[in-house]
Parts: sequence; C-alpha cells; structure tokens
Amino acid sequence: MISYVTSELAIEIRGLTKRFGSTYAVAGIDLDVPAGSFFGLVGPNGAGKTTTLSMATGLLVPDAGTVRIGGADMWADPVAAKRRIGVLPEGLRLFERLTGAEMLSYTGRLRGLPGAEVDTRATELLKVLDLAGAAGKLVADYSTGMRKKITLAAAMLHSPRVLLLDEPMEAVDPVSARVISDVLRRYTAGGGTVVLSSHVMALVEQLCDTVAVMAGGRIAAAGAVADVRGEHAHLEDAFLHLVGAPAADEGELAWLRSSSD
Amino acid sequence: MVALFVRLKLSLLRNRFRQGPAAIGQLIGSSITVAFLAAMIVLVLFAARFAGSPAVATDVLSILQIFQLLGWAVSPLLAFGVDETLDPRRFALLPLTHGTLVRGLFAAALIGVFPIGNAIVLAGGAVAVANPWWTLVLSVPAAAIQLLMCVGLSRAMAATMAGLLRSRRGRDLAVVLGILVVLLPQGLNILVSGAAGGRVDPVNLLTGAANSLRWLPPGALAHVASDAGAGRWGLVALDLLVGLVAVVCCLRSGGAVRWRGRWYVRMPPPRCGRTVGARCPGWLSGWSPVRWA
Repeated sequence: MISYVTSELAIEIRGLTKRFGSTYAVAGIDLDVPAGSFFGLVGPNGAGKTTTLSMATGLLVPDAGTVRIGGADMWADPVAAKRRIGVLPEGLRLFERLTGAEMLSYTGRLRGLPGAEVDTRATELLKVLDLAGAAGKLVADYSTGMRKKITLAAAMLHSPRVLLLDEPMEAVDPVSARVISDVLRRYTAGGGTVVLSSHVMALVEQLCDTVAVMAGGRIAAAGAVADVRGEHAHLEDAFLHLVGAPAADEGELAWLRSSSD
Repeated sequence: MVALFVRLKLSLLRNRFRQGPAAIGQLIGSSITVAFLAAMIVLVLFAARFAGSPAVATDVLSILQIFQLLGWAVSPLLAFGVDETLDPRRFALLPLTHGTLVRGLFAAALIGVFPIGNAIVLAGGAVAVANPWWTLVLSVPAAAIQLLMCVGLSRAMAATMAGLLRSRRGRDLAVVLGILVVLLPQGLNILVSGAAGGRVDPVNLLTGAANSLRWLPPGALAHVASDAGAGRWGLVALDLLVGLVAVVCCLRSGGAVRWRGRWYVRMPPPRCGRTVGARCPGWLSGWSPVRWA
C-alpha cells in the first residue's frame, strides 16, 4: 500500500477485486488518491484501468473490496458518493436526441441543482469548452472531440470534488485536447481532484503530479511522478521497465525484409 | 423529479422533428397507424356492446387486455433501440435513489404515441363495458390501472433485459423472439380452428376463453363494471385488488432485479481487453450485475 503525508484522501480503494471468468481484471488493489492531486492511472491495454474506474464510479459491482469517495462508500451509500464525483466514462452513452444545452440542463436538474444555477453554469461551461456554437445541435451530430467535451461539461456541472476521466484525450484533436487540459488544470488549481486513465505517457507526465502504474490487474508502482520516474529520463522508460516490455527477437518477422515482387 | 423525467421524454420526442424528413415521416406514419388500429379496436368493442351485449363486450375486453399486456411485456425487445428513456443505465452516474429512478422512468414511459393509442383503446373499452352507465365511475379507473400495469411490466422487462439487448447476440435473440411473437396469433388461429373443425360457435369459444382467464389481472379489471352493475361489490373489490397488486408488483420489480439483497441491473463487463488476442468473457455468460440504487 502507498501512503502519503496528506491528511485528506479524495479516493480510498481497499482490496478492490474483479474477476471475469478465470481472469482477474483487477486483483485486489489498494490505492489512495490525495485530495487536490492530478492523478494519472497508467498501464498497457488490458491492465485493468477501465475496470478499476468502472468500479470506483459505481458502474460495475466489485467482487470484493471497497471504494470510498471523500469518506462515502460507493457501494453502501451510492447516492452520497455519486454526488461527489463527475465521470467521463469510456464508451460514452449519451442521450443522442438531446441538444448539448438540453443535455447539460437535464443533467444538472436531475442532480438536484436549482434551475437558474444550472443554466448559468451550463452557458459558462459551453463557452469555456468552445461548444457555445454547437449548443443547439443534437448530440448525435457531434464529433468525437465534441462528445468528450460535452460529457466533461456534464461531469463538471455540479462542481464535484473529484473528476474521474477514462482516456479523456483519446481520439481528440490537438485543439480540443488543449482546451480540455486547460480546463482540468484550472479545476485542480481550484482544489479539485482529477483522476485520469491513459496509456499516453507524455500526456500523463505533462499533466499529472501523482501517478499509479497498473499492469496485469495490480499496481506496479505509485507515488509522485518524479519518484516513479526514478533514474529514468522519461516516465515512459520507467513504465516500460516496470511493465517489462518484451525485446524484439532478431529472428522474428524476418520475412518482412524480403519484398515479394 | 418525476416531472423532470416527463420533460426529458417530451424533449426527446420533440427533437425527433429535427432529425430530418425520415424521422418525421416515421413519427407521422406510426401515429396514423396507431390511431387507425385504436379506432378499429374501439369499433369492435362498441360492436360487441351494441350489436351483442355488455356481457359479450366484457369478454372481448378481457381477452383484449390480456393480449395488450403480453404485447407490452415483449415491447422492450422491439423498441429498445428507439426509446432512450427505457434504459436505466443512462442514469447510472447520477445520484438518484432507486425509487426516484423507477418512478421517473415509469412516468416517462407513459408518454408517447403507443401509450396514448393504448389509452384510447382502454377508454373505449371502459365505455363499452359500462352497464348501467354510472359504472363508468369504476370502469375508467380500472382501465387506468390496466394501462399502469402494462407500462410497469414493460419497464420491468426492459430493465431485466437491458444488458441482453446491448449485446449483439442479445439483439439477434430479440429478433427471433419478435418473429415468434408476430407469428403467435396466427399459430393460435390455426390451432383453434383446427381443433374446433368449424363446429364451435365463436361466441362460445370467446366466452370459454374469457371465463378461464377471468382472474388474471387484465380479466379481473375488465369485469369491474359488470360486477358493479350486478351489485356484486365483494367481487368489485377483489377485481380492483388483483389489478392493484399486479401494478405494485411491476413497480417494485420495475427496473431492477433483486439479487443478494441489493438492487441490480444486468450489464455486460466494460469493453474487455483491447489487446489483440486477449481473452474476452462471453457477452452472455460473463454478465456482471450492476447496482444503480
């Protein structure tokens, strides 16, 4: 287990386990996310990042273990826990037949915020995320980047303590990616906690102050980015060292060298 | 909160007009079809009442309401991709209690072309079985209970099958079941006419079927007016009780499967390992129950 000197924890995960058939997707992990941190959860494909985030956000029942969000147990008191988080899930399931503005309006009201407050915040978020022009368009007609941004807006609308983002920059153009990272930086500067999963090490190194490396359903390393990086030049090198990247065998793929015409 | 779900459903319906001529045409087409079918069924009920007798109308309504309930039970199989408010998992990230979600989704399900068409048919049925006319005071609430039961059962089925209908194999299965449901009345027709050999009076057949199904909730609700007209108040109370208990049962299970003392909705695991060759859990065998209380 990794312990920090900080007094407050945004997320406290203990013994979290999920098994699909005979494969452990998440094999009993312990993880502490300090409040106010920009936390990166990294790992190769199939490491268990999405499964961990799904269990932490109440989308998937763990086989064992607990997840506490600011002290509220996600599975014992889901209403309290879900009030404290905003989520950008993988595989976005949106109301395709609502406009962007309507989606924010209903999300905020369903979260129990006063209507006038929802509308003010929604207008502001749409402007900051560069979606004001598309506010009246149906979500079905949005591009991938726009869908990520509108979901991020919906996740931030109730000003949650913690944002959990699954691959927020995947399939997003550089302009939208810059907008998203700026918004996230402003959010953490204001005291919010961000947890994002990614397999793009450069992005994590650039944005995050704390990082956990997952491999094979376990936490391989966790701590401040500098500590995890250690003597390596880049986080990616440390990551490949931790995950154990296979070295290419000279004999393999020999046929690639000979042209067939 | 319930009003919010209703407004959400109205927004979703209204926005269909913005999705181009095909969506508008589909909406107008289904409205006309539903209105026409509803008018035809009301005509049949009125014919049974005025050309036959209130008793015949009661039998026709009994059978009709049973088929109506069956239709609603399988409707999620056919309409799941169309109606976004049917899927409780779209609300999974929101801090809603189980009760709020069930009530909200229930209210939203009452809005739409099909529920309104069904309400018209049931209103016609309530008029057709009212004899004397003051029994309308009871037959109209009975019709309302029938509609609530239909929507409630449909919601319970939708929630139970939410995970199934998200998967490709589940949708294939749904198509097969849908075809079976469409073929069912024809099969019944062949079976009945074959067994009867043309020697059975259709009215007798109807009465026999209606009598044997009289205490199913739809049958009981169809008999409220005739029991009241004959002064059998004990039976009226029992009829209404059967209907109400059925509605409560649907509402209680309406949206979740109770399992290990917690409320769950079935859901496939998150997209499994994107690594080429990674072992994927089967969509059907590998379901993980998801709690969304």
